[in-house]
Amino acid sequence: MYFRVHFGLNKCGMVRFKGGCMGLRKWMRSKSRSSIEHWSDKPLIDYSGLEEFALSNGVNYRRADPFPHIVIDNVLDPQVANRLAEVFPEPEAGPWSKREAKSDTGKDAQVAKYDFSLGRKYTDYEMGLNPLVRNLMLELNSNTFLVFLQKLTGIRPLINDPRMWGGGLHQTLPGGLLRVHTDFLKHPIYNIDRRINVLFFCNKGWEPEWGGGLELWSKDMKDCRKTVDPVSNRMVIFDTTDSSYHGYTKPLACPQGTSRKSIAMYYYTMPDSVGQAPNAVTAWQDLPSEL
Amino acid sequence: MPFNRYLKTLTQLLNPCEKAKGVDRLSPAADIVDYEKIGRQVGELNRIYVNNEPFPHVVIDDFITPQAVDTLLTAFPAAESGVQKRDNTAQTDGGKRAQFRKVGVKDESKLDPVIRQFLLELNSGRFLSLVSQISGVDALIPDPSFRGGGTHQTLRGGLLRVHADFNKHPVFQLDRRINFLMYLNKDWDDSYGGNLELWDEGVTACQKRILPIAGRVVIFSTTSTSFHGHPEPLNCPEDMTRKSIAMYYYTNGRPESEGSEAHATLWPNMPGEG
Repeated sequence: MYFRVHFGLNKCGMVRFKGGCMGLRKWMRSKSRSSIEHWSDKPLIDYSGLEEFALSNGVNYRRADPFPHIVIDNVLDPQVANRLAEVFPEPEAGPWSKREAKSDTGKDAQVAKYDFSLGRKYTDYEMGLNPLVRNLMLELNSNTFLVFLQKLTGIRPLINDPRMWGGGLHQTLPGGLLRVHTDFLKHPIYNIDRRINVLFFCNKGWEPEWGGGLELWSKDMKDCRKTVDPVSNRMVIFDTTDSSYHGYTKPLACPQGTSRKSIAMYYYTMPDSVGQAPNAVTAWQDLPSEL
Repeated sequence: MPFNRYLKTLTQLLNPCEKAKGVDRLSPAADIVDYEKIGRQVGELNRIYVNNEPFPHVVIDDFITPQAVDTLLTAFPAAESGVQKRDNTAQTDGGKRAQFRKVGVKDESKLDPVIRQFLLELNSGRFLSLVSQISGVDALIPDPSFRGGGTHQTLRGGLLRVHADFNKHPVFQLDRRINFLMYLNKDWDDSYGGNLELWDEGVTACQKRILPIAGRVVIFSTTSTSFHGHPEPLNCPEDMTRKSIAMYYYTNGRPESEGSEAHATLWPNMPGEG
């Protein structure tokens, strides 16, 4: 299955090699390939400036309106981000679950949204993912990234979820939407508290008029205070609480054959002995115009 | 779904390389664990694990290929490199030496990307699910900070006294349940020693000795009575070290039958030490 004999590209276009990393590295050097193909020599995320970024943006994060959040662009090398958008699995490939949900008041809560996760299922199928996609998720579960998140958000110590419960890969097809909501706040298997959402968008060439911007709503659900376009190589980090209202409420206007793609990572802490009991499930909200 | 499309979907799923290019194969460490091969054996491994003496454990040989061992060894941090943490001060209550000439790296940002990628793999959902199947312990939580774990190596003359591990993660307050040890010692002769010894819960006698040879993995349940160590001074040549990768897995809470107060590493007296 691996360590095939020859160097070079097999019929699938994938590098096969024999003899471990020295063989691969020597081969790479001999081909003087573009920088992206040297990626085995460094982590996918360049952490060199991130600690300083976290320290100087911690206050901005906490004071952000309507709830603590930050938007970071150019997270990955542009070539890697482009490649990620290309290899993101199509909704018909693999075990995507179509998510259609209604709110308590009978309104559309999720339309044409596909999840590649659903808890246990993710671990059964993650090996079928393109390695670049999976490795990015492993990277986002690494200590270095967790330390960055802790410095930025002030929330610690963070626990990651390798099962990607509710998270993992998401994509929404044309016409789809995600009603404004607060997230489930308790991990159903680990029984730990969900504290931070990290969303990474994989939408190369996303046009603003296609919509799908992540809307952040005020604590009183009266108005949308901010809309973040889901463009490629953009990361949104926000506190997950019982008042961090978010969603994308208008049916997507992207063309057939495209979709709104994202990677969703959730981070947890051990339950607090003090503080409110978090709600267990996603809480869908009525918009002011619907009341 | 029409059967043909189902088949195509399945094929795509099982052959992720179909659309992948070289750039997507980021690290030679990503493919080291052969999930298919080990997956076929989990039933048998679990049967051995739960029934094993002196406490639940299993020894798996050729967990990774000799080529993979070479890949990891190439990237393994040198014992004398500055990234190594060394703690030779650990002592038993009676003032005896608990560990000696042992160094390790747990800060993944200081590790070679190949080893780092492999450790990330060992903390992946897929791998945790494999460890759960083998051990029967569900809902395992990884520790990305590798507290007490990461890469370990012991130099000639070094030792690790028989002990039971800390049972609560000091930062997360999670319960430590599983130790995963992988050995990377090529051409390791019996006479070099360094056997992992498993002792009974009364610490009266060593019940099992496991030679730390390359490609061998030991998985065992971490409780307050799973006493283990390599207490005999290493007898390997000066230019060799006993190398291993150690990963610990946690749950939020543990069965009442294993219930005990949170404690740091326990270093009991050995027979004859009174």
